[in-house]
Amino acid sequence: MLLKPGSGITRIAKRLSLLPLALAGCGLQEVVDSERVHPLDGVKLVRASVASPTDPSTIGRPEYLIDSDSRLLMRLESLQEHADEIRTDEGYSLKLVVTPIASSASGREEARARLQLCALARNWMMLATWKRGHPFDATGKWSTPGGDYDSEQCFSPELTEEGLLVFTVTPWFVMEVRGRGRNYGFVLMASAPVTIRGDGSSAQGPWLQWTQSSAIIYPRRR
Amino acid sequence: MKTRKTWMACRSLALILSYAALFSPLAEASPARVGNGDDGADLEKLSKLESGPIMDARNRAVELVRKLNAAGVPGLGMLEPEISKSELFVASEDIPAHLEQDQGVFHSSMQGKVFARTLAEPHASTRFFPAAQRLESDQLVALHIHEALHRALPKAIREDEARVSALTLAITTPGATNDTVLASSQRWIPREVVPQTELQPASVGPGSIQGAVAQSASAQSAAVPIAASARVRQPSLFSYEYRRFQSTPDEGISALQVAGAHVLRSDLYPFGEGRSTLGIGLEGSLIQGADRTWMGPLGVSGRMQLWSGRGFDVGAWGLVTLNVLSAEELKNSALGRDATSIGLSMRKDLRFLTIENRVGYTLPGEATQKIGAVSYQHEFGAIVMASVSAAARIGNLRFGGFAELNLADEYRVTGGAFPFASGRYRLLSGGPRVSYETLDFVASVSGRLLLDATEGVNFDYLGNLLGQGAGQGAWMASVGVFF
Repeated sequence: MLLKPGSGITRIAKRLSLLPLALAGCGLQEVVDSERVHPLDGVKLVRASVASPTDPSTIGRPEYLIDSDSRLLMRLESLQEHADEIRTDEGYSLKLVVTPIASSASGREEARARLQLCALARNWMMLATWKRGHPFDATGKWSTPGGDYDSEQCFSPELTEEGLLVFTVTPWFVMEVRGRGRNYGFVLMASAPVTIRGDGSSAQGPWLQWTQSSAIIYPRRR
Repeated sequence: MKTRKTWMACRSLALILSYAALFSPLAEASPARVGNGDDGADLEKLSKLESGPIMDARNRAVELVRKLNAAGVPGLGMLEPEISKSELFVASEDIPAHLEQDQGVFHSSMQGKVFARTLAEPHASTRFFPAAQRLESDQLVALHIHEALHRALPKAIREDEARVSALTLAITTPGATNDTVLASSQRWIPREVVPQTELQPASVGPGSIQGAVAQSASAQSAAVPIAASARVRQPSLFSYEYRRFQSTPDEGISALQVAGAHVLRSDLYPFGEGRSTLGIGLEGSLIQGADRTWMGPLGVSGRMQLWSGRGFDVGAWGLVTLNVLSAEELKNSALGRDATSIGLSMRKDLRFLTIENRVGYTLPGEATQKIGAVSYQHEFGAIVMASVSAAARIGNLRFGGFAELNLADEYRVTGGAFPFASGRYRLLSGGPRVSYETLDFVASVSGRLLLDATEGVNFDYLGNLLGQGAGQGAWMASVGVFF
């Protein structure tokens, strides 16, 4: 089920332990699943025509125009902290959601067809530009202007009934974050101009969504 | 009757002969030493001097000797007290310069009249004769100094008229300086004849010549005098400097596009005395951006001129650069760190060359930078600095340059999912420096260029805008006054 951010932890789905709850007094734990929604905090527009890494048009905007010379770097900076809790077994997935700005269903369908999300292959920070992922030493320079990404880890979105574009990025998470322990995030590209809601737009900026398992421990009754 | 008279005459004769026999050794022996081996004739009709041109000349002689810091010259430590404390007398009549010791140019006139006499012993009095009263003031000053040298110099040479006269000339010649007096003393006063006891303070009460000697000797802690051009004489500084930074080609890590800086500096040394002065310094700055100006870091320093001698000026400093007054854009950048540095400098001024060595240490520091929703922590490692500068001197102009090496511990940036660590790195910089400097004023133009560095590293990594600066280096122009 797709949830919306801004409503906190919206729903809790309980999965009972094998023993009855009455036995909880014996000091057992109960594992519960919860749907988590995290707005992305690392969002940086890189544009070929903008050289300044702190240009106000590239950070914290309510909307971003994505086209052939303008891409959006995205990442949840704290994703690694949740790596062990996120469920990726069958039936569970990690989703990245963006909100296209389109006045019609056909416009949203066009956005779906134009957008592509690819995993970045080099680290970056909020001072990234079209030419560099970060300003420190030679490792910060993109081999390819606009961002170095892994073409084999690219994802196309699905359009939901609510008009949201959803990228299922579970394979990337399993391989990169959980497997290699690195979180380089994504670059959002468009073959033609698409405008999406930005992180400066409350409740409708890009977000990550997943199901997380948490353990609740009941103390032994005396 | 006749027999009686004969006996009385014989008795008188015998008495006379015995007196003659008794006093004849005394007649042949030297009298009490009241002059330079004279016959005592100058002791007649002496009156003590209390005022007048001779007394005024003595005061001027004391001032001259103090100005030249003769107390700090080996062998001349007792000169000033011998001048100031010796009792002065004046005779009523001139005496001829018939003794060998009177033949010196400072002792008698062309007409063969003695000017003054003294014993070549410490604390002896000085006797002036009417011939001295016809001398000019400068001549009287030289006479006082000459007579005092006969008493103040080491025993082995104080009666050597040639040495005493040469030293008198060195002290009284127009344009004499401490350096010239020192050079003359090194030539005419052998080191081995300068006993340590003559320079030791005596345990006597105040007011006496011994007390004055003790005070003079104890006040001079080293045998090396302070040069007239030593910076310790006028250490305070007020200056203005403009720096033009050379930015990195692909923006800097600060991302602020710092173009230049105006720096106002004031170092005042109100404490300490002599060779050691202690002061407090303030530096304020305005940082020039691409299209605007920001309030920059404030520097607060403690500075000390530790020692000055043998032509060396040794100083130490501690400097804290604070961003409390800086603009928010500066605080929220890699340049927003507060830096604390300490250092030592040694400078030697030669006739045609000035050399200065500096070593310094900057403590680790950090700065926080928030961009969008992500906060980054910049952690700067400790920095060791060593620099050498040299300049050729042509009058007050100095042409030279410097080289500086900065060795730094790791610079780290962490924030969100982004980590960066530079590892230990180095920066070698250098540049030219042209200045015009006097004891009162300085104007200079200099450049700091990045000559060599660990790959990818520049001055931004040091995070010390008021120190090493930013980017690839800077050109600087400054003017200042010393006081």
